Amino acid sequence: MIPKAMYRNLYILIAGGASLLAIFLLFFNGSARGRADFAWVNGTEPETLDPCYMTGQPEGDIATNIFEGLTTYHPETLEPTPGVASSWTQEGLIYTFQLRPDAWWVKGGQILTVDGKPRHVNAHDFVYAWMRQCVPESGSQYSFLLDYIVGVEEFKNETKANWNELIARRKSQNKTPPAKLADLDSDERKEVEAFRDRLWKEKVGVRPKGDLVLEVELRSFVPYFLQVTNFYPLFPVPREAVEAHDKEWILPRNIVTNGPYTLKDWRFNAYIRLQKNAHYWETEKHVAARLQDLAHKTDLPRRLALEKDLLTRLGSFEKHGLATLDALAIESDDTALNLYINGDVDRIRRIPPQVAGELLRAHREKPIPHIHAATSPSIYFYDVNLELPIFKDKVAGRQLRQALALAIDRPRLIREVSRAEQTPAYAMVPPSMRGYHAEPRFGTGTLKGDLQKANDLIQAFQSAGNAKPQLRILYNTLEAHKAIAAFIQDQWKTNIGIDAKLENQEWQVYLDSRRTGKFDLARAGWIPDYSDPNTYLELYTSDDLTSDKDPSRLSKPIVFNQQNHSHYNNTHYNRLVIEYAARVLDYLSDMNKRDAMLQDISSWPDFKEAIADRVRTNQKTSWNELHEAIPLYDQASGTEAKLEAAQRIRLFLLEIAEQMLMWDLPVIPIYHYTTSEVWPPELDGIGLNEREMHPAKFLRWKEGRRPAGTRYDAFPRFHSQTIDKP
Amino acid sequence: MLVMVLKRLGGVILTVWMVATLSFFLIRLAPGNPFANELHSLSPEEDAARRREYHLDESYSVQYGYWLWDLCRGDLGDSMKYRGKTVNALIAQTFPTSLALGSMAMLMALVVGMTTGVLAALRQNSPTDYALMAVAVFGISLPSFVFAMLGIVLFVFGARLFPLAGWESYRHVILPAMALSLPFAAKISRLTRVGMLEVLGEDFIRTAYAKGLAERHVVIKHALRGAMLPVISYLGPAFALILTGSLVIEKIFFLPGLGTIFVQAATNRDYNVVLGTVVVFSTLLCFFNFLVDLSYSLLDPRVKGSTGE
Amino acid sequence: MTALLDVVNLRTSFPTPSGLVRAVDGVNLKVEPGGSVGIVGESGSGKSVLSLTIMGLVACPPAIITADKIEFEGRDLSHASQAQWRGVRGNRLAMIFQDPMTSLNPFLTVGDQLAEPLIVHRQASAADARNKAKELLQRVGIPAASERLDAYPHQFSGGMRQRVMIAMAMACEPALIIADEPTTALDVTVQAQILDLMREIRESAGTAFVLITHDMGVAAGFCDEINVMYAGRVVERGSTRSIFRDPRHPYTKALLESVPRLDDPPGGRFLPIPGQPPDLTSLPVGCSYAPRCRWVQPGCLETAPTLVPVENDPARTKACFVDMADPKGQV
Repeated sequence: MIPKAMYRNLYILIAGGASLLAIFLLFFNGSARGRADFAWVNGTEPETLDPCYMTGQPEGDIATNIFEGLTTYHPETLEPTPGVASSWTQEGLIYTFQLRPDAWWVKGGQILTVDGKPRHVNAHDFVYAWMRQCVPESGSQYSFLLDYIVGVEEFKNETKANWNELIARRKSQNKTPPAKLADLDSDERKEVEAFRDRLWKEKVGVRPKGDLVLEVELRSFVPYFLQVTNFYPLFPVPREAVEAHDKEWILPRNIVTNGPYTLKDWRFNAYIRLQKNAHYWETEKHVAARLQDLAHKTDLPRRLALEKDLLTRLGSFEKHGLATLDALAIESDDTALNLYINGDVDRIRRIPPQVAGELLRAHREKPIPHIHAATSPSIYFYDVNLELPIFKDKVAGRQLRQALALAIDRPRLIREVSRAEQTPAYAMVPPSMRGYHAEPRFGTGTLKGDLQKANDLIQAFQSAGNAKPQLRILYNTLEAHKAIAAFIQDQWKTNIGIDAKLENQEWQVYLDSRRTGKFDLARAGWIPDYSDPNTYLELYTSDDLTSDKDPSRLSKPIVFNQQNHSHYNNTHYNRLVIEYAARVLDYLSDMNKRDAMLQDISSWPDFKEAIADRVRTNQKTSWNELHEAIPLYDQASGTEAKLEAAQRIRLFLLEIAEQMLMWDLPVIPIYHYTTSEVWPPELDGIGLNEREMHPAKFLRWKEGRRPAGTRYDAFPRFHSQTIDKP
Repeated sequence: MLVMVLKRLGGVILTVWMVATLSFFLIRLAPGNPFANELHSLSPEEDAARRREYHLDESYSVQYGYWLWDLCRGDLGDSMKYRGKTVNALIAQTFPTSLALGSMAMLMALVVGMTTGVLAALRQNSPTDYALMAVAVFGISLPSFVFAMLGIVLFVFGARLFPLAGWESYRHVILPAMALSLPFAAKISRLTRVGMLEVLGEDFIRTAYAKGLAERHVVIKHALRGAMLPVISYLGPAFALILTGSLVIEKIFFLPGLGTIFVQAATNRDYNVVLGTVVVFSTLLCFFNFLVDLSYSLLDPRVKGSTGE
Repeated sequence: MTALLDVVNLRTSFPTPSGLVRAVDGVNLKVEPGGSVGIVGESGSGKSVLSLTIMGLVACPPAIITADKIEFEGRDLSHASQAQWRGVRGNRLAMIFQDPMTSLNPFLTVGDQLAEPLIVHRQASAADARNKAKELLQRVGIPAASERLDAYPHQFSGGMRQRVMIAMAMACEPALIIADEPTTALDVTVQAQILDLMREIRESAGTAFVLITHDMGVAAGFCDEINVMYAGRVVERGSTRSIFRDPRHPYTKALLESVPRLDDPPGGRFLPIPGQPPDLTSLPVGCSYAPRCRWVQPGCLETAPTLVPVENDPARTKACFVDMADPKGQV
């Protein structure tokens, strides 16, 4: 009875609401997908999946699963296990890798065929990938890892010259400068490619011998080389895909992979879904054959014993590997932990700092089976800008820096400010470094002693006529860094009367300031690329190896290591790290060179104070231990034994280098991070290791997995703590 | 009418162009390098090659020319940080999420806001009125992330009704949309109430009652139109605020939306992504404002350019 | 003949923070079928509130309304339910308001608003109502009626709008139309047209009118009977002729004198009524007009006068103790 026209306004409102609802339904793109067999929180969205260009852990975790290098990490010990290479041998500095014929390139779930033939990973793929790292326009940030290979440095230099020449030539012809090969005219491109191929063949020690054998000749002794072959910058890359699609070859519709998993779905800022590669080489048959092989041998070397144990324990990937994986792009550690506790994800990388202290303490008292904690090899430290006027006088500058380093109560900092059971750092190399005596390299051992020494140093500093400076501490805008800086500022004021000002900058600006030397002290961090002290120590080198003997060297520009923001230029240090330690085999095998080296080292001015007098915990000095190790090298017989002995000597040399570094203190170490990984006890094929690398290939669920959304009760109730200022 | 529409659309295009151009130069003037990374840096040649690839070695006007030409062909360029991803692809994946979230939030705000506003106006000065308006004041004053956190504590950890993060099913939409919509629902509630009360005090309402019309008839047919108009005017700025508010909500609930990309890109100095999102956001905003103006002129016959003239 | 509208002793008061405002303080009103009654007074005299109360448009809380009788067409409206009121309003009893611009809904077409009473009271179909609306527009003299049906109020001139209001009031052929200052917002020539229209409707349809105005001239031209209101009370009542020829209440006289005439000598002075209208929250004990009265006597301040017949004619009453011809006489 009520007329319809009356409701016109209501119709208008309903129409408005309906159109909003229509927009919603039309644009809603939720990704309802089934539960993956294994899901982990991967952190920030990966920048790229191209192994040549990636640099971060989120990218690496994905790459390790969809690609495969010559070798793969053993999940617990990080020992190299067979990957694309089924076996390898080492003769002196030459490694020979035997590639397997069934490591297929896979596209869209099917084996890639080229000209009708199935395409497996061959030695030329490695040459292509590694060359790609070394060319000047590549933008690869890990190409330094290949520098140990014979001829790579020359290749890089000559291709760089060639490229620059090309740019200049094009400029004179009024053509636009090229950004990549594809920008060149076709004849120019052929010329460049031919040049590079020829140069590589002539100079570089990476030689394919047929399709299935790859020979790699190193320039110097690199004991961790086989670790590096596990690492994604050295993964092979499918030439056909890269050339066909350029930057876009990594998209799910284009990508070609060779790993145990394929890239199924990539939703930006949400998740990446990986799917089991049905054509992966680790089949039941393969495993059975391999185990049979190994069964016959009784006295297996460690590596093979580990491999056998792994295969027996975990079975073949074909039969027992997990079918789908999800990597979630969630940046917040808090949310990650919540998701884990609620049973929505199966692994997170770290416990958020605010609750880490409480949880780790609880874990120490009564172990929580989900938490796997250890001292991490990553380090938190301050870069010191050595170009400041106060550091012009070497002696005074060093006194000041040593005082600054000593006047920080690190245990208290950790207890009250950062609160995640970190380890105080009195050296750069972490205590977890295997085979290396990682000890405090400065400090008296007690806080009281440290503060006393610091004050003595300041007095000496002042009595030489120097005024106490005011310093600025630079950090990027983050509450945690601010709290630490404020603590240290207070420590310096209270303990040695030095004023410091805090300065925070936005991320990009901060990176810029560090790079261009616009800082006094800058907060810094370093995550190692492989498990060897060299990854820390080479950061502070420059290319000046001769200026102590040849002063004219200083008139030429000095190239610092890209992380050497302090601009530390110690010729002796450089020689020790870049020459003696890296080429230790050369120096040991030739008596004259050996003597010259030892002479050189003992002639250095800092020798007595920094090296010879510094007594270690075992009451010896590194210098003494070095001299004790040398005859052991001479006595060793057989290549393996000699290499082992040489490695020990090399590590002593590096200890001496670290001692020198920590004498000069171009950087002030603060603490080593704690690794606190979390995964459920029902997960097998995973272990705590210092690279935090867990290839999904090995993951197995023991006795079944918890249903989705089951809360893990093993976690105690905890309270989030805010970071207090001292 | 058609002329007015075309003129307004032209205005939209002009505004978007101006905003985008301004952003173009601003982001390039900000210090920082799109290719910077803390742990590993590029060598000078590699940096040069990258810059060449994105035309960053040319003068600003040349870069602008490239960018504008590409824009006219619908190509927003490539991301500098996420190599291999085009800005178009990134936006295509994330924009629908933000739009769906925003439209659902706006729908909730309108439904809740208008019904409570009308209710409060009709029961003016009653306990219901006071209660609703008190809640509305809270809604306007508290920031949306407070509601989001509260919602998470109550409904995700407490009642375990909704998921914590992600954008998968409709269940993932409810809590974020509610948190986003609450301040707007409150504002719309107050606007509706005030608008309704004002209209109910007008003479023509008295005339309507004098004609013997029932209350329901008078409210819905005579009063509601006048009460709706202030709300519709508010929708323009509300939409802008919903867009900016969605940045926070997306961060809290880890929704893969355009807002998150925008913030990340600004921090990373990913020029093309920043500009792409600026273009998308401003176009959306201008267009939505245009629609609001259009509907306002359609609904109020006294406005020039409507059917009543 | 039973009166069409019979109101006895109506009081409408509004409680305010400063006191009780007695807007209508004991008013009687009687309208015969087809009659035209005028209510004249200043602003604040209570005439509008009176009409609104009779229409039932004053909200009972907060207002306090009492009456001995409100009878319309024989039915007692004072205790009627809302539904019953709705049946009467717009149907048998209609109202025209002062400002046609604000009294018409700007968001609805004129045709829509015209059709409403027909649809609600006569259950007319949309098409029938539209036709009738067109006829109504033509009836009130609006040209191009069918196009004008779809026009909006702001597209009409002031006079046209008032015609539309009249058409709306007439739609269901009510027995009584209350017109509250229908011409005040219009200019003089249009005023005359509107009054002509109303007169014509009264003649042709036999509709009774109550015309409320502050303008004596308008009342004179239209009404048969005039009620003069002051401070919520009727102070004089009578036929138009007798009121104008021989006003018996000082206020009425002062009102008539204050209107300038065409034949006044140029350069003469205006004669406004001195003083202010009283504060309705605190009316004086005696006659409310006494503070401004030229003929005030001591007795006026003690008791409030009631309406008493003049010269024994019940149709002619005044509420005053004083005989203006002989002030010192009665009291």
